[in-house]
Amino acid sequence: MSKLNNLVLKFPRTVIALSLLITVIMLTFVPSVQFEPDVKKMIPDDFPAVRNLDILDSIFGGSEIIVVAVESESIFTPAGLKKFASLETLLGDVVGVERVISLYSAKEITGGAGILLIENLMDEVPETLEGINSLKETVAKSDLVYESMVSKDFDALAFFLRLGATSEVNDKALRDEILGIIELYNGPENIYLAGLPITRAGIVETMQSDMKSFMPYGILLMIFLLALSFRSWMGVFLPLSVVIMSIIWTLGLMSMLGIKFTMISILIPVMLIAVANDYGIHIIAHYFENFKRKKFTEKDANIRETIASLNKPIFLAGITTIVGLMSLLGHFLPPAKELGLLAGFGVFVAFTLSLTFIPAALKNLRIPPWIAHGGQDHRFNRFLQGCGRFFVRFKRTVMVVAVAGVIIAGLKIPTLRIDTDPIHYYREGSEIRVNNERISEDFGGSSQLSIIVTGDIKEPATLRRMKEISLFLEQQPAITRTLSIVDQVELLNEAWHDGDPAFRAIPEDKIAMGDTVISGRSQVAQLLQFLDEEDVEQLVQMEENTITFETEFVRAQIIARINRISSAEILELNQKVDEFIETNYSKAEVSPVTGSASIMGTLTDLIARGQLRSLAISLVLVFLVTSLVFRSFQAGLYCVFPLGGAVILVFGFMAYFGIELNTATSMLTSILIGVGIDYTIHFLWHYRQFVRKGMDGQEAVIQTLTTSGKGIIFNAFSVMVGFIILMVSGFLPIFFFGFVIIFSIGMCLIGALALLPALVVWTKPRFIFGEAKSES
Amino acid sequence: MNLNRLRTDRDYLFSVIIGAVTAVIAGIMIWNGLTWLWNWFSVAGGESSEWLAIWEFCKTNLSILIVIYGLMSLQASGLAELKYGKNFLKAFGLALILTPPVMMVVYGHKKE
Repeated sequence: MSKLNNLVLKFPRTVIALSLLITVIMLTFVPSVQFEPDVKKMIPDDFPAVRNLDILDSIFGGSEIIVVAVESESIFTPAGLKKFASLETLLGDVVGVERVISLYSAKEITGGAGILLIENLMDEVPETLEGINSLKETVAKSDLVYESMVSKDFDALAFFLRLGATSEVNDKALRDEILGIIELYNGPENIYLAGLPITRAGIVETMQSDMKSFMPYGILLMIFLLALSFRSWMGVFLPLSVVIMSIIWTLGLMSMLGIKFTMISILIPVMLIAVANDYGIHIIAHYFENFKRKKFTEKDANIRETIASLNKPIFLAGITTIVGLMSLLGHFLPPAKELGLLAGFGVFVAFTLSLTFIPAALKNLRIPPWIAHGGQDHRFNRFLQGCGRFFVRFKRTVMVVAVAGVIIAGLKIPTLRIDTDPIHYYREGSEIRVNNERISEDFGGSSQLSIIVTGDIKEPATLRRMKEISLFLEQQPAITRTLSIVDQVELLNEAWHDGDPAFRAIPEDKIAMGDTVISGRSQVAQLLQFLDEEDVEQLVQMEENTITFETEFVRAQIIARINRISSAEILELNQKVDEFIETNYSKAEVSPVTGSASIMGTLTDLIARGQLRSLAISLVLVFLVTSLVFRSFQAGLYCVFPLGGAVILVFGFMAYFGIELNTATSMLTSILIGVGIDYTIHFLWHYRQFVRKGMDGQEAVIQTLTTSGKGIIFNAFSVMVGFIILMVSGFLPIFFFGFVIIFSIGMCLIGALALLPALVVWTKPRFIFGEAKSES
Repeated sequence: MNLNRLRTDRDYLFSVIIGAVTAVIAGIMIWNGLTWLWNWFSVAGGESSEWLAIWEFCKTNLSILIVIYGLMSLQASGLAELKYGKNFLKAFGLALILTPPVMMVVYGHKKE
C-alpha cells in the first residue's frame, strides 16, 4: 500500500490524467445502455416458468393480451354499440396484434338435426330497443361472451387483443398506436387500457424519467451536503469527482457487458452517489482535521500521514462493502446479480480513486486558507464527547433498549408480505392501476395462467383430462374463468343434439348410432371440423398427419384468467395447481403451470429465497473478512452483531408500515450490510488504536467519536441524503426502498456510535483490550 | 506547455501525453453532442417556433440544466475561495442566487 502511495505522490499529474482518460473512454459507452422493462427477464431463462412460457409462445403464438374496455351506461344502446363497431377492425390493424376478440366478432353455435351453424352472435347492431333486449338475452346465455366480453351489468364492453410472440412486440409503439386509435373515439364513455405490454411501456417511461431526476438531483443534494459539511470547495469537489467517475466507469462497464437498466439497476447511480463518496469523505475529513489541529503545516507530510493512517480502514471498509454488495451474486434474480456486480465494481472504483486520485489532487491543490490557519469545531466535538459519555455511562440501558427493540421488531417480521405485481409499482389512483382495477372488476382480469396438455386432443379421454383440470382451476377463488378447446367441443356437441343441455359434454368413447358404433374421437373430429382454424389456433397446436392427411391436434392449452390478487396468492395458486398436476398426471401429458401470472408467482418465490440467501452470504462473508482483518472471530461477531440487529429492525419496520418485500426492497439487506459495516469497522479500528495507546475504555470511546466518529456521521448523512432522492421515484418499490434504506442506515449509525461503544466498554473484548494488556 | 519541464519531469511528460489523448476523445464526444443538439434543434425548430423548441428542451432537461448550473456555481466559488481567500459557503450561496459571473464581480475578486 505504501508503494502505491509513493507512486501516487511521485506521479500525481499522471494519476489525474489517467483517471480522466479512463473516464472519458468509459463515457463513450454510456449512451448505449438500454432499458429492460420485462418482468419475465427478472427470472433466469432456465427456470421452468420461463421455459414453459417460451414453449407456450412458440406453440400458440404469444401468451399476452391487451384489454381495451369501454364503459358507459349507454353502451348497450343502438347508438352506443354503433359507435364502437369499427374499433375492433382498427385495433386488429395495429402492428403486433394478432387477433381481436369482442362482442362484434363473438360466435354463437346453434344447430340441430345433424346441422351445425356457427354464426356471429351479433351480425348487425340492433336498431331498436327490442333488438337490444334480445341481444342482451343471447349474450347472457353465452358463456364465452357474458362477463368476459360484456360486463355483468351490460355497461361495459371489452376488446381482447391477442399479441404475437412477445419478443416481436415493441410495447411503447404498440401502446401509442392503440392510444391513437382510442383517441378517435374520445367521448363521454370511459375507455380503459390494460395488460402487461401496457404496464411495461409505462415502466420504461418511469425508469427514464427516474434516471433523469435521480442523477442530477442526487448530485446536487450531495454538493449541498458536502458544502455544509466541509465548508470548502476541495471538500465538495474531490469526493464528488470520485462519485461521478465511479458512476461513469460503472455505466460504461454495464454497456460493455450488455446489461440493461431494470427497475432494480436504476438504483446503481443513486447507490454510488450515496456510497462512493464514503472513502473520499474520510480522507478529506482527516486531512482537514490534521491542519485544524496544527499537526502538519506541509501538504506532502499531511497527505502521507492521512493515507498511512486511513489506508487500512478504508481498504477494509471498501472490501467489506464490495463483499456485502457482491453477495447479491448469490441471489436468484439476474437483475439482483447484475446490481451486486455493478455496484461492487462501482465501489471498487470509488475506493481505488479515493486512494489514488484524491491524494494526487490534494498534492496539486492549494490548502484552503481558513483551514491552513487551523481552528476546531468545538461545539460538535463537545456534542460527540457528551454522546460518548452518555453511552458509556448508560451502557446497560442502551443494550437493553436495543435488544428490546430488536425483539419487538422480530415479532412483527412474520407479517411481512411479498409483492411482485408490476401494477403495484404504481401508486393507488394512478391511471395504470385504475385501468387494471376497472378491467378486473368487469371482465375478470388481464393476466392469465396457462397449462399445456400433450396427446391426441381429439381423443375424449384427453378432453376429459383437460376438463378435470379446468374444473379444478375454476374451483380456485382467484380464477375467474377458464378457456380451452373443451368448451368449444361441448358447445358443438350440444348444438349437434338440437341444443339439448344434456349433451353439453364431451362425447363418450364409443357412441352407438343405430347398429353401428363410432368412436368418440371420430365424433369429436367431426364436430371440430365446423370451427375455423383461426378460432382454435390459440387453443391447440395443429399438425398434418402425412399418412391420413388429417389435421391432428397434438397439444392444447387451458387458459385461466385471474382476478387482481397479490403475487403471494398467485404463488400459492401456482403451487396448488402444480401439485394437482403432479399428483394426477405424468409430465409427458400435462406440463406445469405457466403464463404471465405464473411469472409473478415464481418471482415472489425467488425474491423470498434470494433475500435469505444473499443475507446469509453477506453476513457470513463480512464475518469472515472482519475476523481475518482483526485476526479474531470475536471481532467478526462484534462487527456482525449491530448489522444483524439492524436487519431485524428493518424487516420489522417494513412489516409495521405495510411495506412489501419486492424486487427493489429485497436488495435492501445486502446494501445495508455492505454500507453499514463501514461504520462498525471505522469505529472498532480507531477504538482499538486508542486503547493500544493506553487509553481506558471511556476515554477511547470519546476520542474515537471526536475523530473518526465525525467521518462516520458525515458519511452516514451523505448516504442518507444520497438515498433521499429515491423518494421522488415514480415507482412505489423504489420510493419505499429510499424510505427504508434511510431508516436502515440510521440504525447502522446508531449501532456503530451508540450500541458498539456501550458493548465494548461493557464486555471489554479480548481482541481490543487483551492486546492492549499484553502490549503494556 | 513548458518544453524544458517535459524533458526533465516525467510526471509532467506522461500527464501531457495522456491529457492530449483525453482531450482528443473528449473533443470528438463534444463535437458529436453538439451535432446531435444542432440536428435536434433544426428538426424541433422546423416543426414549431425556435423559442418554443428551446423552452421545450429546457423543460425536458430541467434537472440536467439545474445540476450544470450547480456545478458552475461550485467551480466559481472554488475559485473565489482558493484564489481570493473568500468564504466558500458565502461565495457558493451568492453564486447560486446571483449566478456565478455576478458573484465573481460582487464578491469573488475583492481583496480584504
